[in-house]
Amino acid sequence: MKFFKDEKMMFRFFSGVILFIVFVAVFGPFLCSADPYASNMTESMLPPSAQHWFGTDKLGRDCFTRIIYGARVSLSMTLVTVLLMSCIGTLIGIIAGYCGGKVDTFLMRITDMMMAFPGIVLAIAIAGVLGGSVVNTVLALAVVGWTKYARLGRSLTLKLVQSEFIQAAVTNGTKPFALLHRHIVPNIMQMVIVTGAMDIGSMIMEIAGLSFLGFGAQPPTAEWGLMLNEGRQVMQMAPWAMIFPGLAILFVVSSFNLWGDSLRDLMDPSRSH
Amino acid sequence: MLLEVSNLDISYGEHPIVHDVSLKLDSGKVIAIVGESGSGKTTVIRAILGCLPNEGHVTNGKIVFDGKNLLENTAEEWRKVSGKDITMVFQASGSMLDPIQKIGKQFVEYIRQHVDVTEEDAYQQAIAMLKRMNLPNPETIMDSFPFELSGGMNQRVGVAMGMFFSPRILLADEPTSALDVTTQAQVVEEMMGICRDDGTAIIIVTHNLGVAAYMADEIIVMRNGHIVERGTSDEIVNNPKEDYTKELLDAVPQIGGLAHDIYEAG
Repeated sequence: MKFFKDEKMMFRFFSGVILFIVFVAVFGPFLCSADPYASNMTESMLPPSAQHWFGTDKLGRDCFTRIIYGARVSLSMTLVTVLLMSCIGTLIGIIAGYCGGKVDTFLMRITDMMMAFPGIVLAIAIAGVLGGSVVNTVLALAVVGWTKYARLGRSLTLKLVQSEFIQAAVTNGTKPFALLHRHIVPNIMQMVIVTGAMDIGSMIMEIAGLSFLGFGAQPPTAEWGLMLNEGRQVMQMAPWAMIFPGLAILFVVSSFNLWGDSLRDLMDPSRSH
Repeated sequence: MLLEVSNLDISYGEHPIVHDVSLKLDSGKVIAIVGESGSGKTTVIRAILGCLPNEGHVTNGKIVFDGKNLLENTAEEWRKVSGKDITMVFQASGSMLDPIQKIGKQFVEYIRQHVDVTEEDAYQQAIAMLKRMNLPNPETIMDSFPFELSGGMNQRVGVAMGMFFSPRILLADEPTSALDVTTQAQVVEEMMGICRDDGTAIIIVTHNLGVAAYMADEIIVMRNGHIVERGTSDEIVNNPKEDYTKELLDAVPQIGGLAHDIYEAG
């Protein structure tokens, strides 16, 4: 059990798992020969076999191939969402923390307002108004998710601005912009990255959730949430059409969560020993 | 007159901290402000550089530098003065440097904030300045993080940065109190030497009367935000008038204490 106590080993192990997932997402489609969109009604709802490892869905499409292709859609949507909301949120937070006063109050009241909405409901509303599509889902989730980063960025910046070396940099005549991008941003980046890494898992869930409800990816896209929904209609006859996309989500989300945890353990100086 | 501070009052929030402080400083001269912790000595020099912490603000008085009242400066004017014409050396320069960036990068950045030179030129000039501070292996120091250097090294890097532009005034906030006695003497020597060469005026804040007596032309003794006594080093050390000054003199460590020797001799 020593292995699980060594933070570096844990991080390496989960990084390996993540690399494997990313590898599958990037190169998987080149490796499997089947077409994820080719329906073949004569092979509809076949159980898992040597030819169709995860069986086929009601349109006779190979589930394994669709899950591999789905990794691409899910991962790219998630990464874009997390990047978008962490960048925007952190930027707003830094501006609020650094400028203080009225700017701070204004930006933070907007943040409070956004936080008062239940996230997923607002995302459904936004995606519903904009219409279901991959891009709109990303936008909707980013609009809901940036507030966490704004709060984080603000509190870290407030703390940092009080620190001696920032004060010293000011007394050395450092220009405000240089202060921001040379000292403040690099010093809070670590926490933002850790938070972002831990958010990836829940974002995959939310994207799959929106797609499941029909607000995200649209048919015939191979997307895990959407596959779950399509599989739901034939659950009794072809449970594999639901089970395997579900397992894919479970595997990927837990991998990213555990990876995020191990990254936090590794980078959090207060927990080092 | 290079710098004239007149009737300066400073408050933190509603709470007055410094009362009616005046001082005059000519080029090349050294003034030492001594006093116990909380006497407001650091607050005075922070006000001169316009970097009072949070709630601090000047409620009355003038700070005239080069014929211009600094208190009327805009933020951009402050920025141009501070770090170039007036610089500050801190008590622990190690914590005054960005912990996640190498010394070299910060030094070069500091230079390029004020003058338009290439990174390569700035780097060479920084190396030259570190050599002037008698720091061994300046290239290694430039390639180190602050936490990789000892307190004394960091402090000398801080002094080197403070002295880089040959400022008109160097404000030194307890520049030696975090150092051991041997390093103290070296840092003081180096600061004095460079200031003499460049004609820089110094205001040094310290609770070490030995250092003050050694460096300063004039000593100002402060307590609870008031000036208790002022005079030439000689007057203060050899002929103190106020009881508080005598107490401070008695508090100087006896072993090898410079002030003690002077005190005894007088």
